Parts: sequence; C-alpha cells; structure tokens
Amino acid sequence: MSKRPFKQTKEDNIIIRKFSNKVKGHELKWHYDLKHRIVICEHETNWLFQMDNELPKKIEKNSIIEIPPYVYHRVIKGDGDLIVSIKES
Amino acid sequence: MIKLADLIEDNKPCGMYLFENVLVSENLKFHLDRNTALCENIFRTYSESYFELIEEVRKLYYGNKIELNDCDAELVESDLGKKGIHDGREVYLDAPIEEEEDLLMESKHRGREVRLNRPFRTPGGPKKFSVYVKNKTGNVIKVSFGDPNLRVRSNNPKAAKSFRARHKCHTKKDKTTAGYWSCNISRYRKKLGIKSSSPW
Repeated sequence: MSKRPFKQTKEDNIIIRKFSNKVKGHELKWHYDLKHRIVICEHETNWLFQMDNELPKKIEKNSIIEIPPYVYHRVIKGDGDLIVSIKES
Repeated sequence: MIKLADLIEDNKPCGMYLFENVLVSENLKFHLDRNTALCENIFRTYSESYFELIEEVRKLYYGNKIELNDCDAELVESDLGKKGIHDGREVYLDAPIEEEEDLLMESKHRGREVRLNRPFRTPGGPKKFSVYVKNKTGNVIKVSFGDPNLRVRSNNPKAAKSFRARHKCHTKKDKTTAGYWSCNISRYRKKLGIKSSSPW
C-alpha cells in the first residue's frame, strides 16, 4: 500500500487529518470514500477542494464540505499545512 | 486571489489563447484565466467534465478560434473524448482504461494476475518502465520501454518536441510496441511520478 500524504488521529469518532505543506501536489490523488463524510477546516487556508466534474473551490474556514460516498474528489495544495476534521456516517 | 497555476508545482506548458471574444463555458474560462493548458485539464482524467472540455476546445480549434500549444493540438486532433459503440455500449475513444474499469481488465501473464495498460516502473531493469497489454491474438505480453539511464525530460519543450519528431510519435498507434508507450508515457505521469504532462 502506498504511503498516505497525511497524518491523522481519531478522537471521539472524529478524524483529525493533517496535510503537511511538504506534500507534493501529485501525491494528492483523486479518490472516493465508501462512507458519507463531513469535512470541516477550522483555520484560514488557501488549499482548494475539488469534487468530480466541478471546478476547485477554496476551503473556507468553518464551512462544511459534504462528500457523498463513491464520489471522486481531491484537495489541491496551497500554502502551509491543512488540518481538517472528518466525520463519517 | 489564488492562482491555481501558482499552486501546482510541475513545470507547465503555456495555456490556450482565444483569437476572438467568443462565449465559452465556465470550465474553459477557468483554464483560460489561469493560463492552464488543456493537457493540464483540471478535471479528473476521463471524467465527464474532462471530456466535455476537450470537445469544447476541439470545436474552437477547428473553427480557428483558439491557439493551442503542440501538446494540446495533438490532444484535440486525436479521437480522445469522441464516442464510439463497442459491444453495444457507448465508450470514449483513445482513452486507456484505468481505475475501476482497469480492475475488470485484470488478466493472467505467466500464471500471475496482472493489470493491463497500466505502466509501472521497473527499478530492476533492464528498461525503465513496463506495461502488460493484450496483443492481436489475445495473449498478454509485457512491453518494456525507456532507457533506465536517461531521465524523462518532457518538461523541457525543446527536448519534448525533438523526441516526438525523432520517434515519429504521431505514427505510434500500436500498444504492443515500446514506441507507443514511450510517446504516451505522460498520460500516466501521476502514477509514475513524472513531473511534466507533455506527451514528450
């Protein structure tokens, strides 16, 4: 299995995932998840999020990103680290 | 405002240029505004929007309304994104099958399950890359290609143009040859960790 481009911890069913600014752009691959996910970023960032067949959008502080299961998506690298909270359902 | 071009580390070919003020989709406008080339298509490879963008640029190109770099021109002049019927099913042409469909194309080579049409690095040599493909008789063969002592320099436009001319890439259509894969290696750049998206 290839190395993941992030580090994460789990607290009370919430995944805290950190993408380092050292990650290479090509390591952030298109993928889909098997479960519905709610993603929140609690800090200012210029990283982007892109859902399949949509243009990339800036990840806004405290805004909720809903990712349905089996829908391709990816993040696009910005400046600094990106830390997000992920809740699966 | 974030410029996507600034966020992507790879060396990028120059973008597309409209000759006249024509109405374009939001998706194409996004690429034009950021000087993003068609071969750097922001959408997931082989997704609906990926093909729609190519088709839109193709129409503008043949209507002499857009200027493209060599890489993009080669893309729209190919059949990529055009649809055909295969076994009663509508399929996209010129698009090597990947991801889930690739799983369906698992096959056996010397008794071992392998994936077809997916190049991989071969650090043990004798070549730089290999790929499993089916030949005309239906047998799975392994095609090895690329000099392990040379770098893929497709991020250098002059070197890329020279390579394409030297190897007559426009004539390479047979997937069972090393030449085809050498000329089209950039389609798999992300999996192989190659910097440039130029098709040599």
